[in-house]
Amino acid sequence: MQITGLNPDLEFARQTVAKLSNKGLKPEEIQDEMVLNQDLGIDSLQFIRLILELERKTARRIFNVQIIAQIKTFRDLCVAISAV
Amino acid sequence: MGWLAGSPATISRLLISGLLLIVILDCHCHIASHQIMPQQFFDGWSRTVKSNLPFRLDPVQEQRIDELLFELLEDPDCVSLLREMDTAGIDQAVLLVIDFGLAYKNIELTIEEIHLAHKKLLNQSDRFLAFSNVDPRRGREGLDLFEKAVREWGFSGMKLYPPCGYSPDARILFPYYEICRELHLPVLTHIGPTTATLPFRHTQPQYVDDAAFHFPEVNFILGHAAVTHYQDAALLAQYRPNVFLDLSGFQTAINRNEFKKIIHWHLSRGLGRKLLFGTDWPIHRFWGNQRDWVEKFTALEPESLSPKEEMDDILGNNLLGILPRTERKYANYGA
Repeated sequence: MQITGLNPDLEFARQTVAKLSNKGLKPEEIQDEMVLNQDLGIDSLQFIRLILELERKTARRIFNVQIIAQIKTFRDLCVAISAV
Repeated sequence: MGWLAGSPATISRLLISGLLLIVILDCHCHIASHQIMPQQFFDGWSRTVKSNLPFRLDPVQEQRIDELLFELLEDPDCVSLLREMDTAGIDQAVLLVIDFGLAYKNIELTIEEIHLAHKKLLNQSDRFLAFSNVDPRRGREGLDLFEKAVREWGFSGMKLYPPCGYSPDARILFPYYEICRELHLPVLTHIGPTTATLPFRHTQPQYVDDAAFHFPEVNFILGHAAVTHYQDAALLAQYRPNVFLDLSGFQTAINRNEFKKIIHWHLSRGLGRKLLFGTDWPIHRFWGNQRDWVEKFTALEPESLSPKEEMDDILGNNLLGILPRTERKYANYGA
């Protein structure tokens, strides 16, 4: 299920992930179940950049230690953003 | 091993593994508490983390990083640690005291109060072990506190933190090592860099050699040294039967894609029985949870980097072999 496909508000997340991924993927090629690290090449350092950029774009504090620990896939990331 | 019998983590893995006992021990954890980890330590740690990021931070982002790192140290009762140990299948974790009292000013708790905070956790749960640390420059009073911790309060080893300003081979530590020899307690000493607000002098493996030589019955664990200074540490572990290597900090090696190379380095030198699994909780919580680290570690086995028996040794059996409650109490590795 592509939860982000149903929610245009989360397209900025897809675009940000595509920008930081080292896999050369276009935003539309990012699937919900893709694992940020293995599938998208977002290592732990880039992950910090990702959450900082997402918080800046939303102007909200989205992440905390408990939430960060749960985020493995692009879907997890979108769920965290939607939960705020 | 009756002390493991009731833990949920053990029971779940007994079932999964067809009643074959696999013990996972985390040899290197700390209580995540702002009272126990001083502000000066945190400040240096935060500066290092931020300076290592491969992108520029604006002031708002710098503050946000500080906030997130600050959150990592908000588990003073180890509730989150226990929950993560359950999820990860970690049976027991060693909580390491660090005495920052002479290195930093304005420490909130006395070193005795810090020990008592650890003792409280030991009394509450059999999932924790604790190693005592008293800065050896505290004199007779410090030695008395150490003795009380290991003889009366249930601490099962000694921790050293040389960045606070002393070397593991300092003679003032020898009375402590005598007690460790008598009680069969391992000594775990920090190796390698740490927070930017402490000096890194005396944090190389070579500074352990003289102590390991003079106290061959005492097992010395080189904290992080299986990853930091791993080549020098491997040499010492190869030639000193009583030197073991702690893998905590391997998370940074994973980030740099160096972990497999490092593990191969050790295993190709026959050090599978000298390596100890550890996570350095809570330092690496930002990058993953305890289950992630166990999974990253056990993923080595299918890749043929480490056979199953060797993996079981590293995950728990090696530490069990040098803890005081086990049969093999002396540094008789290979005997």
